[in-house]
Amino acid sequence: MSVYLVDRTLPGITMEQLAAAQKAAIETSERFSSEGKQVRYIRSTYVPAEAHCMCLFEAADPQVVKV
Amino acid sequence: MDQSAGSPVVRDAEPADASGIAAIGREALPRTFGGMVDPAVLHSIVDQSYSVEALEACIARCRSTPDAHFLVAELDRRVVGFLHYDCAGEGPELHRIYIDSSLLRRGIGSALLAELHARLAHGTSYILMVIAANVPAVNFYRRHGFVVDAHVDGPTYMSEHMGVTYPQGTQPAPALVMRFTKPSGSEATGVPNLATTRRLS
Repeated sequence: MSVYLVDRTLPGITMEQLAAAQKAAIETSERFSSEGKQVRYIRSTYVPAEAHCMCLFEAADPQVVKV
Repeated sequence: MDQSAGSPVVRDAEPADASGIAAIGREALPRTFGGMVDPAVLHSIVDQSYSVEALEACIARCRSTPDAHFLVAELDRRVVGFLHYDCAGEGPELHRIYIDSSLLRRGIGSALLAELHARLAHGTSYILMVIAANVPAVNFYRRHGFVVDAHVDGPTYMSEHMGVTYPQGTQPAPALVMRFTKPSGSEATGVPNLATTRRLS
């Protein structure tokens, strides 16, 4: 398993949308893992001044993180 | 979902499902395409794509490939439909979706498509080929948001995209390539979906 950083620019995102995106990342990771595609959501950091969001995932295959 | 209420349960296919899938495919293809497609073409497709061995291999490959999905729908723990989506070859494509003939128009195909679409990333676009004379199927896809992308010959398309080979002299069958596009993340949730991925360790 390797750690991957997913880097996104999210101009204008609200805190509610950010929370929903994080929830979706967690749920999707859990579903993929239950299907045998191992991936674990670790954490996210959001920099409001730059509208910049960085999410860490641990996965066996980078394609799973990109999906 | 509650199986006792008649709602299908959709899950990833396992190699052990191959015989049930083969039985549905071997019955569904001649029933669906009789009179529309040259019998020699149908015979070739069934023989080459619906043997238990071919299905077991396809299911195993889909289970180990992140962007391939072989799904089955179950009722009372019996396989009653299946769907095969794959990104191998020229791009993302729904290669097959068939339902037990005694259980048509009960939402099983819609349940299979809904599960596939839930799994696809926002912005994903994929195609399928449908025989133009198969009006119920064309209408089903239209209801689910597919649009016509191109007009092709069905047997030639199957040969080029799925590697099926036919006897010489088989008859053409007009077909449609239809496309579905899942709305992008920003369209669906208001969150732009511009991401880069880097490996850290």
